[in-house]
Amino acid sequence: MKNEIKAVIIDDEQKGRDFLKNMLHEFCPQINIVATADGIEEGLEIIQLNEPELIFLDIKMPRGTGFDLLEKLGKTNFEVIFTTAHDDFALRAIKFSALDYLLKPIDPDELRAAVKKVEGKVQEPKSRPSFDNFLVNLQRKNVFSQIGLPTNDGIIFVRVEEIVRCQAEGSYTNVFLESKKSFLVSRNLREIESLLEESGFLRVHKSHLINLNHIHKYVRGNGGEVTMSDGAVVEISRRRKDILLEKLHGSV
Amino acid sequence: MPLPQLAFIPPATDPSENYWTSWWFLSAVILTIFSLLWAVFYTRLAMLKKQNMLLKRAFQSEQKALRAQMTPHFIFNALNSIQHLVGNDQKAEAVSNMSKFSRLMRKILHNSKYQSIPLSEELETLELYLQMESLRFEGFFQYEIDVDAKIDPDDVEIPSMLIQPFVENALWHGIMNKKNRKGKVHIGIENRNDMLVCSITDNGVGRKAAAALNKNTNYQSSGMEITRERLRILNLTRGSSLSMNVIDL
Repeated sequence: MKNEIKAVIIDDEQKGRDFLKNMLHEFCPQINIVATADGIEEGLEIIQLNEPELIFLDIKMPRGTGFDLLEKLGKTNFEVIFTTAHDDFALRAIKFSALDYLLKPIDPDELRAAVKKVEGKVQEPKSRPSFDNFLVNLQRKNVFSQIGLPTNDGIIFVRVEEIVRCQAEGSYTNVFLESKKSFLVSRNLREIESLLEESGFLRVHKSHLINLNHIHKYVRGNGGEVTMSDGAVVEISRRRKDILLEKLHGSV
Repeated sequence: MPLPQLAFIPPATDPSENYWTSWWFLSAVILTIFSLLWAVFYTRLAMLKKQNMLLKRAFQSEQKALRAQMTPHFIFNALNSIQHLVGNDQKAEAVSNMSKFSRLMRKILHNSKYQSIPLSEELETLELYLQMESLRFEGFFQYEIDVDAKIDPDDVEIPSMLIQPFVENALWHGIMNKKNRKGKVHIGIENRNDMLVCSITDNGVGRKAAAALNKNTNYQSSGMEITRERLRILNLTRGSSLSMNVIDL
């Protein structure tokens, strides 16, 4: 089993490329940077020439973004770790599709973790990452229809409207779909909440995140209970009761 | 024998004795009507005043929020550049840029507390900002700040952080996109017919080209829109006549 991973860096700043190269050299020596590029054009060249297994891809570049590059490439047989200085719409799209990224200034521990994750994927090549879903989400500006949820086997893509509710299981989350299917996602509930809160989901309890569009009925109580469209009964915490009622009345 | 007929004779009254025509009753009625009207107008006025106050406060806090929005973009780029210096063993440059960055942050934080600041303050902040940006551009761009001699920058006040978004735009969309990044930004302040005119000129690729290159990111030049909105709010709340104009050369 080979240990070395062939990689390239695409970033418009020379200093950025050098810096990342040095950091990898120090913290992730198993990564072999075979080429670097300063933009899309050069990036396409070095990818075709070197056939890397991993690409460190800067998002905001002057003559075209990292996403443009992926679009141009179409089929991919490499892993991608995005790098960006901005926590913005683009990053949200990346998180929504469960893709890997690093925020600049780069944290060495995060770098190590991201590389380790990629190592696992490279050594057991299952289905190569499809960026189609991600690029579709990008086009839709702020309304992401499909979300990528990472599981132990890979990533499952579901339509947001299919999700009835999510329940915390330690550092994992159980996601329940309207088709009565459910699966365990390797993200904690808070992370899922931050992704879905702008899509009509509400955290009604420490362990429960529900899709407001799937509420069947609400029963009063200290906090109360909500019956979801799949029949599940979810407890509402006292503190979240007011917010829930506000949201319910607002949508009437 | 005919039934006795009782004739109803109204009691004799003196018209001046009718209580509903006596002067005190009339004046009481008029007074009541007036005081009712006055009460209605007064409450209405008070309500309007309150609404106005709330609107003003809403505008002001919106302004604060808008001002705050403009910096995060730049902050992380700057920190990133400094990280590179450190990683590159450029200790002296790293040290000096870190303090420059702190000075810039202090100025911005300080300025954001006020609606208006002296022009000199804004220009000093701008100077620091440009120095930090030239780090990212690796010194390939030049900048010039030109103030008309007739203007005393300490004596003139302008809304804070108004000029920076334009400069950032010129750098990011205009010059960044140039192949060799050899760009020039010129900031000129002059007095035209008693109006303070600030012009930011760059020799970058131009708006059309920049838009074409950025079509896929969904990245809007929000700085411009935010500034337009700010100017609108300022004009509404302070009765000023600020305006902005973008000219493609």
